[in-house]
Amino acid sequence: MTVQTPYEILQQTDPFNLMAVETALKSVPAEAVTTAADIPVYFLSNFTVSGILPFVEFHGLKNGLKITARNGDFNVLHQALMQDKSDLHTFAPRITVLALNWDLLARGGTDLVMERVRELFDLAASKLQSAVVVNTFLAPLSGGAASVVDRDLARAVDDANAFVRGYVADHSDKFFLCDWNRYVMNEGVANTLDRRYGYMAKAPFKPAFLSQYARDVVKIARALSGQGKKVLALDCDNTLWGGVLGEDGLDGIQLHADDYPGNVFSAVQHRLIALQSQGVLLALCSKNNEIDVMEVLDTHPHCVLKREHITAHRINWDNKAENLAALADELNLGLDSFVFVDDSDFECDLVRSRLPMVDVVQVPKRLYDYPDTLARELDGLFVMAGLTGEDAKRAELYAARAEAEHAKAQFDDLDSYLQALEIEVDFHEMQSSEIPRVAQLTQKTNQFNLNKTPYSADEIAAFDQDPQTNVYVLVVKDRYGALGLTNVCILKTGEDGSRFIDTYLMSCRVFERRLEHAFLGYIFDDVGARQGEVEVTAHYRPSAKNAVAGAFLETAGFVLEDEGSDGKTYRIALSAYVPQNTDFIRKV
Amino acid sequence: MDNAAIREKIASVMATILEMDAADINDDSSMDTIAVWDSLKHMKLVIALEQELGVEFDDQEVVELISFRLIELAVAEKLGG
Repeated sequence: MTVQTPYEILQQTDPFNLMAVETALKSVPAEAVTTAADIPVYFLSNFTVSGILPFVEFHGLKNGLKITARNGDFNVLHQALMQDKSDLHTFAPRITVLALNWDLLARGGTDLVMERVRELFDLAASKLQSAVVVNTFLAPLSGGAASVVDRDLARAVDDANAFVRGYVADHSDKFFLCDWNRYVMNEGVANTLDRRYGYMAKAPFKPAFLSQYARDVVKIARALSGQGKKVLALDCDNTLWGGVLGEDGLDGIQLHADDYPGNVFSAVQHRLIALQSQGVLLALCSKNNEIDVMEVLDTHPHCVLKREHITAHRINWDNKAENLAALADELNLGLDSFVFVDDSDFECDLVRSRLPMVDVVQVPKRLYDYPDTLARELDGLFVMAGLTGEDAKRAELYAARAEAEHAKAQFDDLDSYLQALEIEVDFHEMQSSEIPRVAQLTQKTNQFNLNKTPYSADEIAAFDQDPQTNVYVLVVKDRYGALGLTNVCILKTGEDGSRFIDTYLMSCRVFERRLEHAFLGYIFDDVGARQGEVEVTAHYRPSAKNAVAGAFLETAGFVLEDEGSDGKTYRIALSAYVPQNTDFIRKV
Repeated sequence: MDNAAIREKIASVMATILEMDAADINDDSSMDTIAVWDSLKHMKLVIALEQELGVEFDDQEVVELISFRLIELAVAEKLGG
């Protein structure tokens, strides 16, 4: 018998089978798949929710996260939220799942539901430091909008769900939504709802429901720890259109919205464009002639996906694993932020085995299932921690940067290239409108981040209020457009007045512009103006991705003072700072 | 599935869900002798048995599945007809 790797065990476990999941959890120690810190997740619910715990742990491990999940007592929601010493607050979760079922909320009348929900959500918003995951309510199974008997109920559920969606949208820095109705639609009523234990033990959900719910919660945990998926890399033939471009030609491929199977691919393309508009980066990874594929994007009358939707591409005859690695390099993103879609068994298996950190979605053999499969799989992968206005523009920014990379080749030396970029920066202390973006950067910046510490918006707001702490930011634009808020420094004060760099990070969208040096110069000028000569310490905690940040400290003149298992401590006096040439950056 | 295979399957599900060694499970194992076998564990056990053995228990049956012997009899009845 061959010994399976932990990764293979997790991949091959049926995620809806309780026994299989429990067995996998026993055979795969968390240390085998992750070195990251535990993520505590707490379930507060008005039904018996404990059945979800093994599924949360399982999906966590499958995503390289060690999640410690726990649930509160049945229907003890207000007390848990309000009492500072409750089990919930003592547990200090990173994510609190407010799992609310309709039945108890509607006791006494469906007209009471909305007020009860609002009260609980407001309480969660004010009392919790953690992210809050809420859910839609299940539509009534019998009747529905057209039924006389259940019409009022159907409307009450619709109204409550509209309220929940609105609340989440208005509190997007903290609240996340799980759509319970999708779980039932995906797997069917018989597989998801347990009427027997629903009535006997207030446990109304079967493993297929709980496992999908757990997967969504883990997806949110992944995004909050900066490991969310960002890129969708797509094959072309039989993935974006039907047929093989090299054989069938531009006129022969199937994409017509009125013909089968062209309509399947047309539906898929519309779905991809919707994802792109929400900030998902689309990339092409195809064995084809580049010029032929671009001709389809530019000229095919039924190809709704266009060249401007595509952020980067590798269209050649090379190995796809290597092409994906090259795309990751070009976009300055880790391969673990990639999802790959292809129809071929060979390519999917190759990527699964060579690049296990890439999620693979294979086009199903029954083509008519393709749009649903894609929607279901991608919904389980892409999420943003607090969808900020910047996210919607992200795809645009990366496309502009790819163009800038291209332009870079035209200049002989780096300085004249940087000069021609016409970089303008606005350096200031964080304004309250910038809190969500700053929190998001602390959560998802993995490369240029000295000592990654993910903060919630509430925690950032607290720094803003603290007179001993300065939060500095840089807002950048160049000739290709606005790059947004890209640099953050959280500078604390010690008892002796010396300063400590708690956080120093830079978004990878502005690498190679010496902005990290310019930013530090501005900060030191500001500190010097306030305090005169003073010592500044910084802590560098190495990770798999942040070597670039460590090198920066030494270039800037910081001196290594102490080295331990938790990283390196550096110190500098303001006057010892070594400025770099940043004359090409205009400060406005 | 013959009787021995069914017994083995039930013991393995019980061992996994009740977090014990399959070798320690015998005809006398019951809710009275296994301390961790509470009502939540019981629900997990029923769901795992149903998924593993492809059977379904109704409200009357689930409350009777309180020992290895009773589970074995109930499963044999379902599978044997």
